[in-house]
Amino acid sequence: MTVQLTVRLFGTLSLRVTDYNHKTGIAIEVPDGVTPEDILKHLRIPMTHIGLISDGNRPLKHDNILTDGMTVHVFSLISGG
Amino acid sequence: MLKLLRIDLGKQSYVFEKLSPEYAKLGGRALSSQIINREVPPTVDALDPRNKLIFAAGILAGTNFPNSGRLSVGAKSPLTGGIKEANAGGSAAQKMPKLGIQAIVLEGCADKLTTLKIDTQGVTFMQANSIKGMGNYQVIENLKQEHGDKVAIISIGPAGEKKLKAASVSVTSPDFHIRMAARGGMGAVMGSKNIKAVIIDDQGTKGVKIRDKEAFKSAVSKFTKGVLAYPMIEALKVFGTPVLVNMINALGCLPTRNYSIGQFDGAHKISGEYIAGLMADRPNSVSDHKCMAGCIIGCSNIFTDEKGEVIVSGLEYESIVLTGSNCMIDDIDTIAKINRACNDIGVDTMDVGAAIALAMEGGLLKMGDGNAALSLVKEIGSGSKNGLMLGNGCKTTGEKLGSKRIPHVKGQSLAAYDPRGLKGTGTTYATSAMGADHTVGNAIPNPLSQYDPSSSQGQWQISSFLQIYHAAIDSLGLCLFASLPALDFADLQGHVVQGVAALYGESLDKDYIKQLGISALKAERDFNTRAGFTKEDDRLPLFFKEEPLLPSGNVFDVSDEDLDKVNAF
Ligand code: SF4
Repeated sequence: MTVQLTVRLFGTLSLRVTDYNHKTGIAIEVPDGVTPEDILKHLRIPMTHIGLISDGNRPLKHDNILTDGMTVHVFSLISGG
Repeated sequence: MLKLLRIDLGKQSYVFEKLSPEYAKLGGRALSSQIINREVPPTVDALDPRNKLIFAAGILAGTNFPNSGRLSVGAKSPLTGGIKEANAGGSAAQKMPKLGIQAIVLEGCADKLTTLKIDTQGVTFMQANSIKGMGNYQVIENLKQEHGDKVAIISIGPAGEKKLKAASVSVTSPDFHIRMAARGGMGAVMGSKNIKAVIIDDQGTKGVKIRDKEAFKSAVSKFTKGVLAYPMIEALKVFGTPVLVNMINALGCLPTRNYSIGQFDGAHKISGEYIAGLMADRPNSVSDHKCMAGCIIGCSNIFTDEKGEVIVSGLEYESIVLTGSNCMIDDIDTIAKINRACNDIGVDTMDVGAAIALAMEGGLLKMGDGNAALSLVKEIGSGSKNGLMLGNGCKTTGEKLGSKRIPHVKGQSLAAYDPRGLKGTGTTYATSAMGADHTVGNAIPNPLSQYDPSSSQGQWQISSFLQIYHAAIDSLGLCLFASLPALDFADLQGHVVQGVAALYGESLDKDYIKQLGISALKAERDFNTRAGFTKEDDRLPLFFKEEPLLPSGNVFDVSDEDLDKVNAF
């Protein structure tokens, strides 16, 4: 079984993926049970560079299971001032 | 040893005073708060001459320790009625220790509007007639012409002269852009003392004396390396704080339509990513501007129009959100112009932004009408009835317009994080002696930590921890962004302590940072208690507890008992 996901990268993260399209993000098909951490490994983005992973409304943990059709928003490490 | 420069404005006299044991080895916020707590009668009106205005350089200021030049501006606040410290970057704090000054204490009140010049000769009192009523940009230009481009200028705009409660204090960066000690009406206190500007000129001085130069050099080098290796720095350099817009929007916590919802349809058009794209095409725009000498990050920017004319520097996350999404305005050029107008008139973009949203909700202008918002802000300077209302901040505006949804704590507006989804930050808003403030302890989640910002549990612990840490950072004079990596890497905190120890030439307790932070917080609490504040003042407005924030449906449900634990150190 596989799931279809969209990954959207923000801040400097988008610079790490060649030909990243800001409008569409990245569409991927991955095995069932995949987590944000697996996806970031796949994109070769270290977890230490991540400030927030979100489903668009609320934060996700690195080990949450992602479900079919989700859009995963990934943000650079940053804090407010 | 650095000194206190006490200036009696009424008598036009001054004295360089040895730091008493209570003030010795303090700087920035800790020093300012100690002075206010000891010397200002807590129940006195904030605009009474008995209030004192403090400009305090941080403990590490004037040295080459990275990002160590924040200037603390403190007094009893006319906005909150409590103690206040607002800090800003710029060049003033780096120059003061070179003149032998840890802090300047302005006492009493000048007879006429006055400009002070502080240099190696001492203090000169000058009439400020020629710059009376002038906006900050022109004041800076005139004073720069007169005193040269090596000085730092601290000034107020018309809002400060009018003693409006949201009036800010402007501090120049090395290239004479404006940084603001914006919060709590410090500009009104400066105006009440009849001081239009303070010029700090350190020409002809030697550097700050460092007792153990080798150890200091090693601390600087290790700290610099550690900060630059931290992944956050990359995003700050490229996008600055506006990169937070998309992130906080995705968290569902972006204040929108006077804190009615947590997401804004126009978020992309006010985001760091969008702004960076615009700036790349605009002449003279700078994305990694440094607000002080010795900054190793450059999170600030210079935002220009299509022709390359500067609109504002820096265009920051908090201002963008409070005058943007919170007012349903999605045109970044209009937001930048509102920011410029606020800087010129000398008011806090955050309190004024919150007030504009209330005026929109109250029907004074249409929700989302950026041009009408800009005109209303300009009325603060011209002194119309509505302008004066706005210049007195969000609480005054909300009360005058009969709003039941005024987003403030202790009279100061909330920052750009909705507390219903970010409850650690909400706990800080509620319990800080400063009123609702994010810089004193902002709890942003991280996917690698177990911290859940939307839980009702565990928030007082994180808020208390962050408030202590940030009180220390504000006392050292360090910029927030250089100090955040040290929250994740304890050895970086060790390098800060090593730097201070080398500066003094003595060893320091391993809990130095914690003790420094607690000493500031205790003084602030003590002052507020004596000014009449109770635990009932440490609460968020009711609507955050009752109105679910869409889309998450969260309410602020941290218990009162937990809020009361934050300051029980
Ligand atoms: S990182 Fe930003 S706020 Fe800090 S000193 Fe540099 S420009 Fe100023």
